Amino acid sequence: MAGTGTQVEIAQQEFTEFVREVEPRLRRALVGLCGPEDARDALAEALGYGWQHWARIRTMANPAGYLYRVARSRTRRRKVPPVFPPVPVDVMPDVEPALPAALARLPERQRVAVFLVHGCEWTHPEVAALLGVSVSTVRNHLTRGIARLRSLMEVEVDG
Amino acid sequence: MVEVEEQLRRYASAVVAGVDPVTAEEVSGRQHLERPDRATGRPRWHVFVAAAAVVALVAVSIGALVALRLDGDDSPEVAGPSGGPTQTAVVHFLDQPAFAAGREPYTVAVDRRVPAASPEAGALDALFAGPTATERDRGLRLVASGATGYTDLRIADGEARLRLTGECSSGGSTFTVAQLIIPTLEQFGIDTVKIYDAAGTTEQPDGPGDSVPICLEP
Repeated sequence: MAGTGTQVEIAQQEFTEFVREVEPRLRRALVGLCGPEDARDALAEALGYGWQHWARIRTMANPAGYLYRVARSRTRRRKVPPVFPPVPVDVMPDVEPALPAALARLPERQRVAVFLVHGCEWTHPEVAALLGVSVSTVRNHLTRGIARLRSLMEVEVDG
Repeated sequence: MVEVEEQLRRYASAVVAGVDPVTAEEVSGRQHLERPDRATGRPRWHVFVAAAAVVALVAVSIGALVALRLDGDDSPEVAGPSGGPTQTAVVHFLDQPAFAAGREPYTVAVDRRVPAASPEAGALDALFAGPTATERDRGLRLVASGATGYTDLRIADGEARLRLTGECSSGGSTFTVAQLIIPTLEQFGIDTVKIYDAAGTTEQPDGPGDSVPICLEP
């Protein structure tokens, strides 16, 4: 960002509002993408990019989706597989300890879809907008992701 | 043990709560350090930043134009064999007006007739054949990223691997041929796509997710 003092102040106000609105959602999506250890760095990097290119990004129809892809691109470059922390079995006795490892082994889009829809209660259109795919594609990722998660966790499915 | 969906809800809630939020002040504060402070007579870094941005913008624009291959050749209306049964498949092309406006989705799916015996290869063939003249008039484009096609397509257990032929360069763009190949293959029940460059390298050949060669990174 560059410009006169007033322009910079206006941009800062706009950007602050923007971050307040999208940060919680981007944070959840990036936790699903790369795990909590790397999510914050990826988020800070993406938002930093957003600030540097704010003049262009502020005019986009889906700036959050764009910044998600910026974070995804930079995370992928680090070639580090996602790591999810162990289940605290003392406070979550009903959660299978194999869940984190199974989640990490899912293909990326399946993992993000199941994490956001089932883990964070996003709607299918919300996930579709973030990933830049159709709602039916999100449904496919969910169906396959849950099936594979069950398989990896060796959960018996009734019926 | 409760259903997997409920386990996910409980686990995700705890995991997300453990990640501190990032504030606008924290992010933009880094940039403030690079701004001029005329009162203290510090260097006017914004001049250098702006100059670098202009140079980068020009380079990226040239690269993106090369990557987009906005040529004027007509493409076949229908891709498929001259004989044998065919089926309908969808092929994804860049929606250039949507991309230019930052309006997602950036791709549009169009129908093609492809060989029923090998629909995945048929769809990729149709992709690299490019949009029809009518589709180009609507703003659809093949973003080839320098590739002339693909080879060595192998599909097993929901995973597809293929090697690009020709050159390979993102041209600095966040949109590459990978964004067309992956959704085009997804319709066939493929979960993971590993794209190799002509030399046979890709970033994560053994990881659980998609993989692209480094040349397709922006």
